[in-house]
Amino acid sequence: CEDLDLVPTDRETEETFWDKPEDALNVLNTCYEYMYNAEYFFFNETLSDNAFNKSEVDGSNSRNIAEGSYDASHARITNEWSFHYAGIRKCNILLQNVDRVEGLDEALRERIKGEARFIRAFHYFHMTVWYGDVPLVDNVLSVEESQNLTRASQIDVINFINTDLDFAARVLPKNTAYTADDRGRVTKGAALALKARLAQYLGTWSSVITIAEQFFNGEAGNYTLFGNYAGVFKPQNEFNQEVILDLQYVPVQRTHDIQRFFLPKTEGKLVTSIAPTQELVDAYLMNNGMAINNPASGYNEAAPYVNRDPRFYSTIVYDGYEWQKPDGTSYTIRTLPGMGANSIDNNDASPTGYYFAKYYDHTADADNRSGLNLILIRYAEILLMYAEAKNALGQFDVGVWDNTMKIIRQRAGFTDAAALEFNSAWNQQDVEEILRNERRVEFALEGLRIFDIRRWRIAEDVMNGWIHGMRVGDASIDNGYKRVDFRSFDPSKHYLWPVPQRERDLNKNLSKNPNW
Amino acid sequence: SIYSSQNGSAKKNISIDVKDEPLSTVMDRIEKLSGYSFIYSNSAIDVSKRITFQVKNQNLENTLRRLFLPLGVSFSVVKDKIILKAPATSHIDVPAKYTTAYPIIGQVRDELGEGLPGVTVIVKGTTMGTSTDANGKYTINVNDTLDAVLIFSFIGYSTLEIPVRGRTEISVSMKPSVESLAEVVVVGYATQKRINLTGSVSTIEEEALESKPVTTVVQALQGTAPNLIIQQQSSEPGAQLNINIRGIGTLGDNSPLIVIDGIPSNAGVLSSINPNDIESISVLKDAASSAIYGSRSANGVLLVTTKQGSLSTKPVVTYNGIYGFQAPTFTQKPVSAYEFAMLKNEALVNSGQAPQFSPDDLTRIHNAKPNAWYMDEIFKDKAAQQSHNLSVSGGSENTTYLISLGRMNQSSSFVGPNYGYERTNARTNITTRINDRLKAGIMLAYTNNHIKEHAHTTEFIVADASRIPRLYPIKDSVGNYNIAPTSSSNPLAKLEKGGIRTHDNDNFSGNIFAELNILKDLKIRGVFGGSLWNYQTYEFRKAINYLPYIGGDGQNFIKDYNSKTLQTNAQLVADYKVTFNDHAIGVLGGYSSEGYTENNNQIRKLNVDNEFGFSTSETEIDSRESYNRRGTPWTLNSFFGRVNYNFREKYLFEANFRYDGSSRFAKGNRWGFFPSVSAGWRLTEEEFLSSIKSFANVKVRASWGKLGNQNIDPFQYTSNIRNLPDNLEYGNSGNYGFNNNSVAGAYFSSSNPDITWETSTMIDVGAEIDLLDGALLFSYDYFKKRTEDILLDLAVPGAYGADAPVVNAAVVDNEGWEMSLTYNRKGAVLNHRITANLADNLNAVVDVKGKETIEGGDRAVIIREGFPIKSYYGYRSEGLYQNLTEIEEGPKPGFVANGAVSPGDIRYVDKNADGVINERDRFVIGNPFPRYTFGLTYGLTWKNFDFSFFIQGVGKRNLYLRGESVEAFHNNWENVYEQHLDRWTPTNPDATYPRLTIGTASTNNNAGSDYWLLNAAYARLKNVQIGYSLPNSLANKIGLNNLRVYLTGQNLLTVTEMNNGYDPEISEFNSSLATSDGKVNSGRVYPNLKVYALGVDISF
Repeated sequence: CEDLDLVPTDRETEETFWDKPEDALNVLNTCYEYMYNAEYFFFNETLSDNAFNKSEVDGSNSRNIAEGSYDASHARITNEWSFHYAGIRKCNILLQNVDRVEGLDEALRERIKGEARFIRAFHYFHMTVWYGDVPLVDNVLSVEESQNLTRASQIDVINFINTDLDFAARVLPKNTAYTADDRGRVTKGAALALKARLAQYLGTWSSVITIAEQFFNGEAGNYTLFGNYAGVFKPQNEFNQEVILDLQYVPVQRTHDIQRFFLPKTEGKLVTSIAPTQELVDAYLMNNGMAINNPASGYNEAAPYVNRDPRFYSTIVYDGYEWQKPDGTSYTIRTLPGMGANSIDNNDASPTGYYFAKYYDHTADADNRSGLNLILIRYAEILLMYAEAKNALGQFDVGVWDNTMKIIRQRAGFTDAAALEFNSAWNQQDVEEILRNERRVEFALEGLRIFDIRRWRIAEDVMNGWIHGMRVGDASIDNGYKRVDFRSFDPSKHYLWPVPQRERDLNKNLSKNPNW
Repeated sequence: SIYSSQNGSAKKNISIDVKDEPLSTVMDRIEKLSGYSFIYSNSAIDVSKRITFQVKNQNLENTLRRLFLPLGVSFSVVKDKIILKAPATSHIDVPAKYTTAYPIIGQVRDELGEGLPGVTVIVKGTTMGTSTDANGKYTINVNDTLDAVLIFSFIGYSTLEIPVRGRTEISVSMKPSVESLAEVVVVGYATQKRINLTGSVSTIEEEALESKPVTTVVQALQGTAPNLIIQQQSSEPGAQLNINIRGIGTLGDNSPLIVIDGIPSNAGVLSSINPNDIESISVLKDAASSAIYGSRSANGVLLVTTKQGSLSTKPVVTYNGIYGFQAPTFTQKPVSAYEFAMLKNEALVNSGQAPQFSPDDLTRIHNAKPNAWYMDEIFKDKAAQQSHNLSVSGGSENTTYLISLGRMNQSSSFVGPNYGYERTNARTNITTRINDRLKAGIMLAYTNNHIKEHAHTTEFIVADASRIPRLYPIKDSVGNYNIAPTSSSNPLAKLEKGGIRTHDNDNFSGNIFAELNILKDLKIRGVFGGSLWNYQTYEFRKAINYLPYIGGDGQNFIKDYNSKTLQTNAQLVADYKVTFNDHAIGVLGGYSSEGYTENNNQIRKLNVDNEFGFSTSETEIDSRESYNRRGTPWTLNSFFGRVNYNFREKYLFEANFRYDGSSRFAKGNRWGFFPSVSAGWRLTEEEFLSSIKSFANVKVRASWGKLGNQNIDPFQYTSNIRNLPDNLEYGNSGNYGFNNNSVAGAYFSSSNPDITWETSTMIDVGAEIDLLDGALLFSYDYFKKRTEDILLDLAVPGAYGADAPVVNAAVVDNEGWEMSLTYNRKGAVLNHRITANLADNLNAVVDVKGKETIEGGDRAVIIREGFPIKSYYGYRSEGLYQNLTEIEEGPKPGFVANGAVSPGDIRYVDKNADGVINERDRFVIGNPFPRYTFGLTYGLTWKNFDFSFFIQGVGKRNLYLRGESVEAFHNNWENVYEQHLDRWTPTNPDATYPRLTIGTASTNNNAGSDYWLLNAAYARLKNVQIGYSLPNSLANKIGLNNLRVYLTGQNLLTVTEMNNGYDPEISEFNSSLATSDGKVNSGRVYPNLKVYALGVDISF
């Protein structure tokens, strides 16, 4: 007669869990794991005018969103909803049970709560930015409860995020207060930075300024710009002093495999799907600080990659780019038609003739699995946020410029005074244009552009019509720049994603977004 | 009847051909062939009498009848002896106490009304007896004219029991017994005469499994019994097949319970068993037959019985060998390199892009005619397959034995270092009678499966090979592996240089049993058995150097996996049978206890030495895929029982139950009761039919019962917490880390404490008709099954934040019918045998709590109330747009940027007539279930030749293929096949394929629609055999009993509408209806194989 009361012997069950500090820490680790992911991080760029996703499959078919041809059943829109609530549930499980755990140091208990509440806020931030009003879940739901939720107003969601972030900022250590083993955890600085980002989205500029000043005076922690721009994203410089929040990867043990989608075909060894657009390339200034459409800039359409913003060379791979291979040798990337594997006319290669070099991890394994951390918030953003806020409030001056734009451009590698110095002839709108363009190139491939064009309400301008690749075509069409993809954006509905059809099918209480 | 199921050798047919030889010679021959010995008195029988005698392929009974009846000699068979009696009537000595007796006289007639001589007449319960004389007349004394019963028995005729009831003269007519009437069928925990069955049971005899060049029993089962549906996802050596009885009743696992020699086992054991060891397989289909297996019988039960030796039989040595070759049947048909270049240009231009090939390029290709075809390069034209089986069986007076050894070797058709599947089987089955009351035995089987395969993934090797146009060679002129455009690797390099993966799996299965006759009619049987698996997988993937080209496959690793599973079962069964007057009652009761444990571990090391795999300073343990697990134990305790009753074998009743307790459910939800009742009526026992000679047996029967299913992973009633992530999504893999050190996580599984059994309620009505004295057997069954409380992970809102817990939520109906027909015609020269079966079933989801589940992208399936489970779901196409006016007036696809379509694109039905094609316009467009499955076997023997063929097929089935298997230039790949030549162009408006496009321009046509739904009905010549057996006289001269050589072929011919190079037999679903997305439904499969082989059967 066999015993029918079996228990697993190689894992815990809910009956045996929550009896030791490791349990709480392990659940917290899982909260971190689900905070964000590499796919969204990189493919977000293809939702914007910075890049094009060639694939119908990779990146949850972000291409169709960028094209404006999607509905409430779109894969990314369906999946991201569930992704965030999965992360929120993990945080709620931890928050609901962490007080039961015995033997947990009380300071640590508070910190764990702070970390979990930050991560929960990070999820709700994305939820409300994409979907607007969303259900607010602050406890572990039963299936039945989840079937009857209603959407909370965006105001309530924002207040909820604020409360979580205030708590996190209060209990979390500064970056300098963690031991080396804890590098990668959420800090007070991260909580404040996310709060600033939220304020920036809402246009509450005074809050942005207040928080930025906490960074300047050291209250938020110890942050500065890293010495050189390209190095910020290199594996040897992980945890550098510019990083405020990054998604952790560990070589071999926890990796992401997205770089194969944006590297030159010969390096990524797979079909390229994330390709920078000509529009992004054109956004890079000349190294004299002038835009290429300025007749005085010295831009030569026949030699377009000469004398550009130094960040261009560490971000974009173009025809003639000298690629540094992991073994130290270099290889010239040719993207003109008929020039081999990386050519614009090769099926598998970038259809724009450009690739990304930023975030290339040369230590990744042969299958391009990378252990390189992905930076979610870095100090340069605080500087540009501050500048934007100051300008929005009409308080921009040479002092603000020198403390923000100038040091960013210096670090970028500009040396020409015309690029580095403030021009007092600029009016508020000129500065706004400069700052917006600066964000676009400074944060290219960091996923911020799509959020910027939505909060600036310029998506209907930049997400309508053709995006282009390099100049290889018939000069009578778009001046010879290859048409790559036609996009459309309907401002009456596209500023919010639709509530997924799947969710509305499963919960009749969920309302629709306007015009969907 | 002399046919008891233990006498294996009695089933061997006898052929003798002598002219003018002594009777003793013939008798010697019979002794040798049958294993029976004659007992007779020399004074009574003249064995020196010279006779001419001929029988062909007859069983023992018929042989004896043909030999002795003309001689007037009567015979009877007792155990393994044939007792011969002189022609004269001879009275058995009557004990003195019966001397005050009343004589009864009468005559026994045969079916033609002639007096039947030599019939044994005895008084039931006594030793008093006599035989009929030459006219069939007899006289016998009984001491009680009221209660006495006379028993009339004669070989080849049905035994009669006639109550005397005061009569003094009793004349009877005896009917020839038909083999089918005596047939005994293995049922749950017992055997039963087929005529007394009230449930639906199909039996597959060893003949159906023999001489087929297949590698597993499961393959051989296909088409042998109605509604036993075998499907395959892959034909790769060692691949598992789906086994399914009567279709799909649950949204979970639909595999039947497999019981081998009484011990519940698993599909892995069945597909590893030596086909030559199998005596019969019973397929239990309805509730009446399966309910005794209770909670695991909802999907039917397969009872496998292995062979035994026979008592008092000299050792018989048998060798069966087959050697043959396999060749791929279906592969895609690529267009020529020149056609490819033209079509590619056409597709690019159609898609608004510049052509790739210049006129000069085209001329060059046209002249050079490159014709590489990767599929030909990676598959061999022929690959060897062989099997050898050697067995010895026999028995002494009290002990029977069977020892067998088998070896099977199937080479893979993949090019590479000797890939293939080898199996070694050994078995010993021994039973001994310790005394009159006690019998004991042991059955032990060992199997080793050894599979050696490439270290990569077959789907990608095939996908890579089939997507490369003929333009590009697989190797360049100096022998380097080429990297063609659209590919980052070379499939041939993966096969030849990419390393190996071996599976080395050992199994011990068996049982020991003891059976005690406590009383004459009451026996108890104790069994302990089980199955022990040891699995070992070693994978060494080597980095491939593609220089001077740029390719992937640069990561090497070693993976070592070990697992041990043990499934045990202890049973105690009591069986009581009693007969009084016209009533027969059987009662069976038992207890069974089962357990299962599984332990496994794996280690994966990256960056090892690329030649030998040892660790270097670069080597790292991959903690994501390195683990130790102490698996998923489960236990099951059960009480079960059966009562059957029949009145004169005319009215039959039976009831079964099982009461199961399973560890898979929480206390309180754990025990389930599964009853069944059934009844049968044998019309041939009624007077109105018994007078019609040609009806040997006509029976109608009906059953009702409840069956269970509990096939879910253990511990789903409580939330489990694991430390490693199990899903690798969003480009991420592995646990989180801090400071570049990985840290453990805690992952809560979804759980539901309330889960309990799935319950199927099934009714079955059936009829069996044996006509023409048993030459024609027909059976028909209709069934209806409703499965409730189906366990599934019902879709939950995303806001729930976790995977859906398993709940008892759904209801599914399943309905179908099946018929089978067997016809035997034994002619003077030719013997024909036809067996045919035809079946149908279809399920429908009745209730999923109103929640629809849609899975998949371009190929979507839906679970929707009112439709079959996982019906195909998509747009309904209505031809191709022919011109701009049609497009202007037609609906706009919402999923295409700006709704832009062109002439030659697929037009979809605008279901809700809103002018836009979107999700709301989707229909249920079909389902994947095979309907009207059939099998047909025809066998012919002529003199010493035999011939047979076997056709199997499916009358109706849809198959949805997606991706490169149907689309040209799918997702920018370069595949174009012959079926794409008939594409739409302004001058070919009636094309079968839309206009050629590439990339974004294909979005409209690639949407999931019935345009890509294929008709996968087929009829396949599964097997053909032509054999020749040496005449017995000749065989005997060289010391053999039997020698047969034959030619056989498998999968030689297929009739199907599918013309795209894919096998209509492949299934995209496994037995849980899970899809291997991107494998079968994208056509990325190892092709089905045809086999030609030469075989030999020898026994001595």
